[in-house]
Amino acid sequence: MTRPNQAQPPAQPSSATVIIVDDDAGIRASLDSLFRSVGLETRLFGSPAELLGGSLPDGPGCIVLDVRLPGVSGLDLQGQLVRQGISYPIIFMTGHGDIPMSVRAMKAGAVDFLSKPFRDQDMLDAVTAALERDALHRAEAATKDDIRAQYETLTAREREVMGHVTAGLMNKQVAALIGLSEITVKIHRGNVMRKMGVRSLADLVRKAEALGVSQTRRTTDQT
Amino acid sequence: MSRAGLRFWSAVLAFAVFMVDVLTPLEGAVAVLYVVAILLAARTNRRNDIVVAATGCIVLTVVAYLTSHDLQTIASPALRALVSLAAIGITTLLVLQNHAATTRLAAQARLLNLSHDMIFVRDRGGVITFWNKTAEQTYGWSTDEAVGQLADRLLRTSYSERREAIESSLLETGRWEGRVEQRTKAGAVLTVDARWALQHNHLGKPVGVLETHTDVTDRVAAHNALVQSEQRYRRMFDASRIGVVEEDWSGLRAALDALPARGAELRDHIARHPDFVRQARGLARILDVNPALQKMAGATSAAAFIENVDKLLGENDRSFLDALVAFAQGERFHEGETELVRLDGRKVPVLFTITFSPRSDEDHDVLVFVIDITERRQAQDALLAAQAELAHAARVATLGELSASIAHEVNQPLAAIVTSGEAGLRWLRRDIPDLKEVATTIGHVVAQGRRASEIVTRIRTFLKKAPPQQGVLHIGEVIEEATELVARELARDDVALVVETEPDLPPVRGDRIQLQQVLVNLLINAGQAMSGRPGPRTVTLRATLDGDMLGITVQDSGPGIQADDLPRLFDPFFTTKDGGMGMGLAICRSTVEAHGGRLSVASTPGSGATFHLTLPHSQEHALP
Repeated sequence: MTRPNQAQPPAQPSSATVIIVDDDAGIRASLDSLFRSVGLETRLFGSPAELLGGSLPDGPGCIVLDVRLPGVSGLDLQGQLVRQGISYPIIFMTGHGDIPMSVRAMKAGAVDFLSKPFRDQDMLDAVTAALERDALHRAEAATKDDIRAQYETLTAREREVMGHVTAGLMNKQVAALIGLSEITVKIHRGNVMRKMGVRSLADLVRKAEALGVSQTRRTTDQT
Repeated sequence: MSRAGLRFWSAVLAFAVFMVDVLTPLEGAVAVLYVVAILLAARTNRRNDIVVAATGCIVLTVVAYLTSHDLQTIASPALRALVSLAAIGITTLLVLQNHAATTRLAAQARLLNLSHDMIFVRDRGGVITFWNKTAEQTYGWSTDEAVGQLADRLLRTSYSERREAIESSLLETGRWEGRVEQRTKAGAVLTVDARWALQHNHLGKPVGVLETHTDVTDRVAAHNALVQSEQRYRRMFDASRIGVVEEDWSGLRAALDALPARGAELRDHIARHPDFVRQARGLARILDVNPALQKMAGATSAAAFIENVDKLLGENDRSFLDALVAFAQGERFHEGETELVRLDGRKVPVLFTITFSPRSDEDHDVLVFVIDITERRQAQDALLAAQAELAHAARVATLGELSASIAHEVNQPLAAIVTSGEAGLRWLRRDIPDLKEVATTIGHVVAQGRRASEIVTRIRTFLKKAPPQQGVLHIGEVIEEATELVARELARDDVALVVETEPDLPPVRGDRIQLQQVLVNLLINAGQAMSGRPGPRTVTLRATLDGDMLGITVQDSGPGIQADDLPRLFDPFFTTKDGGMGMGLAICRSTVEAHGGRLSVASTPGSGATFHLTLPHSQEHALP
């Protein structure tokens, strides 16, 4: 993890939110102040139940969570959030170094694990990294959504053509395979390139891979 | 011969004389023989018989004379008749006189018989001639058996002086008094007070001795017993290791009687008048002090003790006040504890018992027993110290079990302080410092700093090694402090703690930390019993008023306690926990009992355990 210069404000959009879950009001208040001092938004929750029942922001964010909370343990909460489709990166805090627990937390996908009391910079770095990760994740998710939307506009025949083309078949081969004239295949292929918004075959292949439709040939070969 | 027999024979004789007088031609005063008939009649000892006999004889004499001689000649037969009549008359007169004397004597003898003393008469030779009823009853010999016997030999009398000396003193003065020992017919030894008087005949010559004896055997035995008893008690008084004071409280009784208050008001009255108590102390007059108490007080003599009594009793009027009230209310005895201030100034704790006489006219006889309890006190103190030491060790062990929770609990405010401080710095270092935010963060720092300090104080208080202190406590506060100590530990095991305290519970008297320790122990046990078990984990602590006791229950929803373990649960070194010392519950129980309460447990395996503790509540008001 890279550590930005302390004086530098993090390069996060102002809409990023840190969700703080701790049963200790003092800890909540101090974290709230710390994150706000660097321009982050915060949401405070006293218990996992409050978090699960409360409304969460739409924009990028991360969760800062005490690993030992009354009721549900922090690790259990992590599992519940995943099941609910909430995929904020989680930074765990613990009152004292608890190695087995930190190992479990990291394996379960925690971004970082901090012992109280922590250095503010360590916490901010962890949050920054978590937010970056969330942004990346969100960006990837957004791209995938765009490609799927373009793919949705293709006709069944065009999708078939796209599958074979991205699998590396020549127009002639495709025409023979699906029983069309080479001219017709060419027209379908042109439509595909236009609708998918690509200029080269290489771009089309990348998008097909993102969509998971790049193995059409193997499927076709098998039929 | 019976009285009727005498009368009969007297009449027969008189008739026989009459027949001889009439029928025989004897020339003589045959009628003189009537005298014999009269004497016979006199033997009946009745005046009437004598008179009847005499009258009959005179009539018979006259009839005989008239029958034999008519009234023709008043010659020698008439003279003989007259002589006979004269003889009869004189005899009658003498017999009557004798009868009167006998009657008088008999009356005197009856009087002697009425006496409760043994009275007998002996002649100069020592032969018994009279023996009264009491002598018969006490000595056991009847009059017939006794009369004619030698008195000294019969009674086996033993004299403390020489017998001859007694006799000569008797002759010289006519009297003798002394104590002798005699034996009864049955062989019992009697102690007898003897009073002898010499009897003289009309010529002044001594003829006999009237001995009057009083049986004093019982009186002497009682006296001897009394003397022995006195000696025994004196030995006890002198040799006992218990201090004894003999006091005269009759002056005190008078002072108490003069008070206007009676009964229940008396205590209040006396308590309000310390002057009276001081004055009353002076009225309790010390008669004697035994050596043990003199030694206890460091006094060399009873007199030295009495002289310094005010100094010795110290200023503790309280114990004397209690004794005074007990005395006034007619108690038989009173016990208490106080301190004696020795003449060398050292204080001696003592236990005392005052015994009052059941009768108020014997108030001059009050005994006070005093025992030096220095050693007992020291042993008690040592025991208390050992108990406190053990309780402290148990508290240290308990906190050891809680160390992870405590570390976390202290760490929380510290983490908050660090983060708030750093956040404050960031607000301050902004291009335009946000002072409002800075102020808020400093406020957090201060609050969390206080919080950390409170936690440390709480733990330090709990770990303090101090002798038990009796204070008046609000149980609600004790419960709050105890739950604060274990809250984090219970939360760690996901145990929910429910506290239900009845409002307006009366205060209890006791040691805050010890009671806290009991609750902490019960709560931790409850939490550990449920740790790692499925299902809801709840500890419920309830405090209620239970009659004249305060009841506290700690109930868990754990597995309960095995029936086999229940009776041993409070035994020292009994534990079901791995690495447990087994002292927790033992200490809890002894602590609760030292506070006058009870600690018990009820459990149904599978559905949790309930510890129930009671504490007597105090009448005093809790200090604010």
